[in-house]
Amino acid sequence: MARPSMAVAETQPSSPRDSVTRERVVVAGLGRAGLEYACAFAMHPGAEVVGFVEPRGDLRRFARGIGFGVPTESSLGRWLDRRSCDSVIVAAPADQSVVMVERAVKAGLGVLVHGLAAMPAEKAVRIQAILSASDRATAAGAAVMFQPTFARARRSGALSADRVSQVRASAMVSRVFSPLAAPERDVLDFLLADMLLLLDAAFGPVAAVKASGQKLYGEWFDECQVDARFANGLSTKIEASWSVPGYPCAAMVIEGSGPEGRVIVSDDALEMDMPGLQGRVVAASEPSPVRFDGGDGSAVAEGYLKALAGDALALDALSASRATRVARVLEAVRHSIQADGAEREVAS
Amino acid sequence: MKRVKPEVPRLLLGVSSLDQPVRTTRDRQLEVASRFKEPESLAVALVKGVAAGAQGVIAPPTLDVREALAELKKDLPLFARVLHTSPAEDLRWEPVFLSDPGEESSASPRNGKRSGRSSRNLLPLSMAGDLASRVLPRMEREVALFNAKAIRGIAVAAVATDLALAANQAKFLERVVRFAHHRHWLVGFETRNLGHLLARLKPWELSPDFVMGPVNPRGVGMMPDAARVLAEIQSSSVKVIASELRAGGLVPIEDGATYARHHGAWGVCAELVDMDDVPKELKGLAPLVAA
Repeated sequence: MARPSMAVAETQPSSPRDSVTRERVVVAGLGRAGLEYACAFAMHPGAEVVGFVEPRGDLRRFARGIGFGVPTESSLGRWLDRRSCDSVIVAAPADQSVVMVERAVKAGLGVLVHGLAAMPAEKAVRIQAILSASDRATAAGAAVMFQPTFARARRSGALSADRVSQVRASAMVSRVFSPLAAPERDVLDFLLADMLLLLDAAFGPVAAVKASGQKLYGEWFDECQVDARFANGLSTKIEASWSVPGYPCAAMVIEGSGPEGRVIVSDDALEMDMPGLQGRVVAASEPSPVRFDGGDGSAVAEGYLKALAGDALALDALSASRATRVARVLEAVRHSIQADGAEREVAS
Repeated sequence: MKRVKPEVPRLLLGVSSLDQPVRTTRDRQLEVASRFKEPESLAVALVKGVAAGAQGVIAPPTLDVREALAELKKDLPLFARVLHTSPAEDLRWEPVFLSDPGEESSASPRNGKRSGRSSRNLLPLSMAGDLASRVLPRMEREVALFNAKAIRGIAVAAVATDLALAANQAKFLERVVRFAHHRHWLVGFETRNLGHLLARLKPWELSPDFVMGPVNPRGVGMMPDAARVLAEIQSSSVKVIASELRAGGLVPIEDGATYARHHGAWGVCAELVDMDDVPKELKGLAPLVAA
């Protein structure tokens, strides 16, 4: 049964922290993302990390060595056979995620899946099908959905199909030059997935794509260009590259224009020139969505706890069905690239 | 001869913004990176910054920084920002400190003699238990990339500090402090969660020489919130070096420094990305942060 989460804790300021009922969280998958979630939930007054699940022994030892002394098992099944919790945060590779999500839903737990949009479409669809059978909170985490300027643009209505008729989007970052770049990732799942999440949240589902891609430095895609047609008839050009020097953080930009005026939103700032929507908002001036800054996991963790408390914006930002749609768009983009830019419908 | 531990500086010049993500506009970060692309231009900024009043330079052991320092005929007082990580770590599945990139190549020319010795004397990282055991050899190797005579202390990068903070791992900070003090270095901990860290240091009964984190009039980056950070600064005995003085570009650097000092910060760290004219602006800050 769901426990009262952060919202309850915050409405009872006189209660000592330890007596407040907190969301008991198990983090499944102790890679970089999993540990970020562990830190974020551990530092949140509305949550408590009660366990870890990780098949790899070196990662389990590492988490223990850092100082997390919670019970740890090699599988979620083993953990749940012996203990109880309220939510499972799945931050594992796609294959493992399917099994973990299945087990968590079967146990009637809340589930947050990390990186669903960038998973292979077949796996994402399976996970979404399992999640949709749950009567508990289910969510797909992506930090980009909590980026303050994009969130403000969505809230204000400036970035919506009602106000703009022409859209361009670009996403750039410097990664391919890193010795850490490895062939198992490319610019599509590393970067384009995040941009597609933002576009879906603003303009709705993509219905079809025409795409081209370039492999500049190896066997993986370093750049891509996508013509996306939305279900509502809007179309957009999207460029994504991880081969641009000088960008340690991803630079995401969406430009929209229409009869009412124009809007430019990036992770730096939001600029609006429309009736009733004027001015420039810089990212630093927006309120922080977190109270502990521990990387990408912090905003998602905060959002998940808000979603459990019924916050509509957080629920929307963590939509698992949107993440699954994006995984399908990525699959269509790959098919289109293979077909020399021929249009490919997005499976529904 | 007995060595005297140096005084914690009041005014530091930070150069981490050259290759680390910082809270500023993309254009500004690209502009600053371009301005200091040549080692000579960075070297000039550093030496003029120290001449203008900076009592130390907080610098990561990157090739760019070391090439700039190599241009200079004299040593600048350095605080090595150690446990350096690349933004491209997000390409990895594994956590950032799981493996040590220098462990297998400790004999490479990039690493100093001291690092080779320390690595050989320790167990492989895969066998190491706690976080400190994993990262201390790496820390020593990174400091050894600088001229030993220039080192006044170390500033542990926020990525490591905040990991230990979230895991409630006092032992990590305790061992790093012992490691640094044994070498007569000052030791500070950079954090993105200043209020949380100061609050934890009390029950941990730990007093590093300083901690460094965001303090500015707009509350940008002040975790968990501005009021709590200011309260913790007031009630803590640990010296605080305020960073992110410009609040991501929202306020002038003088306002940030004045605010931080007024609210109890011991000193300030001005980042390259926050200044247009490094010596002039540091000269302007010097009287604001004087004791």
